[in-house]
Amino acid sequence: VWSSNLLLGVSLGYVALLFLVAFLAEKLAARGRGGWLRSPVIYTLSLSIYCTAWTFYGAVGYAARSGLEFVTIYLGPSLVMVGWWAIVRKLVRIGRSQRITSIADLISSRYGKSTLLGVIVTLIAVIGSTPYIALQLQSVTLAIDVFSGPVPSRLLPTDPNSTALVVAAGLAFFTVLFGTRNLDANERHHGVVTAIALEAVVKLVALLAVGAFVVWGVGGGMMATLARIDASPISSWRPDGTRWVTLTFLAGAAFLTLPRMFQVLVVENADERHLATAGWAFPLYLLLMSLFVVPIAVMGLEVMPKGSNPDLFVLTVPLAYQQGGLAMLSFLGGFSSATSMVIVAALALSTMVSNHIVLPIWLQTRPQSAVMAGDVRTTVLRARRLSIAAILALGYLYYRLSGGGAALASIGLISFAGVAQVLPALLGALYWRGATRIGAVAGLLAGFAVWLYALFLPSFGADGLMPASLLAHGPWGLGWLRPQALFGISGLDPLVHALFWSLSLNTFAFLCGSLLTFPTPMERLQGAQFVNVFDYSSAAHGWRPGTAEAEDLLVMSQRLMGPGEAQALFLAEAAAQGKAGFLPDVSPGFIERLERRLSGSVGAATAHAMIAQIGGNATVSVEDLMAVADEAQQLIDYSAQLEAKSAELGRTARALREANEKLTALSLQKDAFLSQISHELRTPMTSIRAFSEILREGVGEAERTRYAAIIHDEALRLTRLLDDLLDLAVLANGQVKLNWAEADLGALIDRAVTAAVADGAGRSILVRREAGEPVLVRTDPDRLTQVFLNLIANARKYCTAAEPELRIVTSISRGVVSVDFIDNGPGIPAAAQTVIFEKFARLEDVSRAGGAGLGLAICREIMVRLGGGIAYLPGQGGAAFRITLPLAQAVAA
Amino acid sequence: MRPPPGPLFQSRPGYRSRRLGDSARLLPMQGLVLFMVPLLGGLGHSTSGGGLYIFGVWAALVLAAAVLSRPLGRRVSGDSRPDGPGSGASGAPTSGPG
Repeated sequence: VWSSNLLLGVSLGYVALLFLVAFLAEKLAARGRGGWLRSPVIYTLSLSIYCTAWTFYGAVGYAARSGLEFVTIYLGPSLVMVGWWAIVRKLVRIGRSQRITSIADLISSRYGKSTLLGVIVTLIAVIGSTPYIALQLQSVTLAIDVFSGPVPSRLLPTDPNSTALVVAAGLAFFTVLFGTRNLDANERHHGVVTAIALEAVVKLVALLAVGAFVVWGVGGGMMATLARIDASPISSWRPDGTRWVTLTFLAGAAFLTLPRMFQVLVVENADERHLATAGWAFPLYLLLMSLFVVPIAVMGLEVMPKGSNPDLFVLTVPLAYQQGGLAMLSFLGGFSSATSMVIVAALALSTMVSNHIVLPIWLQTRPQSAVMAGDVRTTVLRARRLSIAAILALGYLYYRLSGGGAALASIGLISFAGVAQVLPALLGALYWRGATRIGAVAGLLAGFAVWLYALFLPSFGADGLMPASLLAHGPWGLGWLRPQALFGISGLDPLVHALFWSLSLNTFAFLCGSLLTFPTPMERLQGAQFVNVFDYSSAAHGWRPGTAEAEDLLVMSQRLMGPGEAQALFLAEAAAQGKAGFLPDVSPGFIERLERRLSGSVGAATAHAMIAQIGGNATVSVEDLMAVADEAQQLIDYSAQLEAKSAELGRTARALREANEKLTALSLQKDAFLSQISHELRTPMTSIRAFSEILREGVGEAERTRYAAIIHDEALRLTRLLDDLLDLAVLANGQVKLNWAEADLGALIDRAVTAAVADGAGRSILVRREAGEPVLVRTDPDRLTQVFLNLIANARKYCTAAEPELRIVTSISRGVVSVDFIDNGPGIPAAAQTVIFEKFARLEDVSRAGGAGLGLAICREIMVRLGGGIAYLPGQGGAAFRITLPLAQAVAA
Repeated sequence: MRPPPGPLFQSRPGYRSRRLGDSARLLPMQGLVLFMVPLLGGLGHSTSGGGLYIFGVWAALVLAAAVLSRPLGRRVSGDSRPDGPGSGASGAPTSGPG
């Protein structure tokens, strides 16, 4: 059995839970242990304040009246978030790099830190949001009314006005408590954000639960529900094209420009990477929020008595089925939607009001020294708290004055259309450097005026805030100025009509104003930093040095940021400049950083004005701008020079490294060569010495002859070695004298083969000449024959085949003669192929090698001198060497 | 104050990464076109069929955005300080020829 007292108890318990969660989150964050508080999930959930009570309850009502059209309210933001890479990412980057505190601050800061623009945007936001806050209060009172209707309770207030008052006061208390703890907007409101994330979960779960109950609990499943939709009064859907497009666009625009959305999307963003998650997770959240709207609406139309309010179907349908618990959950969902929206809206609006309206006035009314004398920090916080209370009071007043009737229900879209007037100036701020302050002011005023005239005032009905005669005939009887049929275009949906004209005139005025005026230096400076935010990370300077005193600045900063934080900042700045103590030199860079830090607390325009009061230097001259530009250009030039130099150094270092490696290798080679030579010389010397000693002691005739022969052989070997060495040295030094002559290659090869075979030493080998055409080469015939001889001798020595065979093949291609010496032996292992031409390079089997391993080295030197080359030719089925020679100039056949 | 011109042609990973950004920008336009398709039926549709279509497109958009979000997320600056030195340095410049 349902009890209204239970409702009160659950509501209070839920509110207590919210306070507890916010409190714990603040505690955790203060201890630095709240890492998960800045997770992408919390960020995504906090965006869900887009779904207010108006969408929680109202979407079902909307669907009951016009079918699927309600979905446009969610499609716009879904598209904006799916395309986060295009717009939202830039917005967030600018918000973070410029320490933007609100949408008004962004517009004001971009257009030269203009106070006027801050005021205009703040006023638009307040006027556009107040009815919306009233709408939330109304939804809570209506929902409570649903419960208290059947069972009156003495504890529940029967008067809806007092309910609204209690709710408004409670929300003001919560917002002041958790929203104004710190001044710097860049320090996130962990308590608030965590609480609204919890509320986001509650409202999603509530709506899904009601939806699941409707579809599966009483509806009989998916197919039955689809059939029920087809049988319902809203079974056919004929989208109104203009409304469909307009509403989708309007919702997307409002998503970017609503002060509360800007607060969670940009100001409370802790990490740009969270956007990557929110880019798909938030559209998913919206999808889930709207998934069951049509089924609930259809079920409500079916089971509820005629004339019942479709806006409350989410509550009344579960109640009609005696599902008290579900209705309770649904109530909490609606309550969550309302409260989270109001909290964040109040937070965002109070920041705007205090930074752009209260503080500038306060600064104006004080003498110049005020920023140093008064306690600015307390003033700012007090202004913010009072603003919160004032905004909620406005919302409550609006609720009372509007009578809480049906007029409020339509205010959601009207409110959207109001804040959407900021869109042209916002997009211009992000993408167009030519957008100027005058243009933005003109556009905003034009759009706002048309919105007031064509949409907001007429929305109260004939004789509400506008006389009926004006609505019907236009001012002074001018028919083309009728509020809902401007320029004679009648018959349009009032919302589409007003949005079209307001945004068109807004954009037109913005573009014309921007094209026709010339921006101030500060605007150009800020414009460049906003539009090119991805190219420039650091700020350009806007201050002339030396006019502000460091001590004055410290005094002022202490007032604003609190002594500890201000002193830490100044100490760090002084240390960075290499100075001891708390007073750094007042450099333009320092002022720039300080101003940006302060703008995180009080907004760009106010921070600029405060520093200007101390420095007495409120304007930036074109000369300053030029100086800054020159400085930046010099820096770019200098860094380009440095880069070129460093590239050159890199090249030199590489060359040096290579030279060093070559030298090291050469040195090693020389050492190896010397030790090899000593070894080669020593072996024959040792045997000569040994045998001559034996001979000296006297031996028999036979032995003497044998030993003398050995000594002779060894001496010959020594001589040969020395000859070879000498030969090699002469060749390597280029001192050799070559006897150039024309010679027939075939004849030379024949000579070498004959000589090698006649020598008789070593094993016999079958030499097969593949006779080609006769080739005439210009060379040193004796040296070339020496190379051939060497190669044939090598083949005889190393070819271990059973029937050794050597093929000599001559060929000509592209002016080069090559002679291949191919045997049928085992060949040379791949690893050894690279070293065989080195001096003393001999393969493992030393015993069979008669020489010292200089043969191929000499061959290579000779061939180089002769203008050709020698190379090992792998893959021929045996050891194969290719000798290449340049062809004689005149090829004689 | 002109930004230093980037390379005229990108290497393969750089090229891929730019086209990735392009697809992220095109995705909402694609979605917009698909959401406007029901306007073409002059005679109207059934609410159930229209609803299934709208939610189907919506779910596909969510899926596509989720697939793109991983590589894109890696390109976004990880610096969480408001005006730290790295906050503007990373992330490929979006201007210049692709």
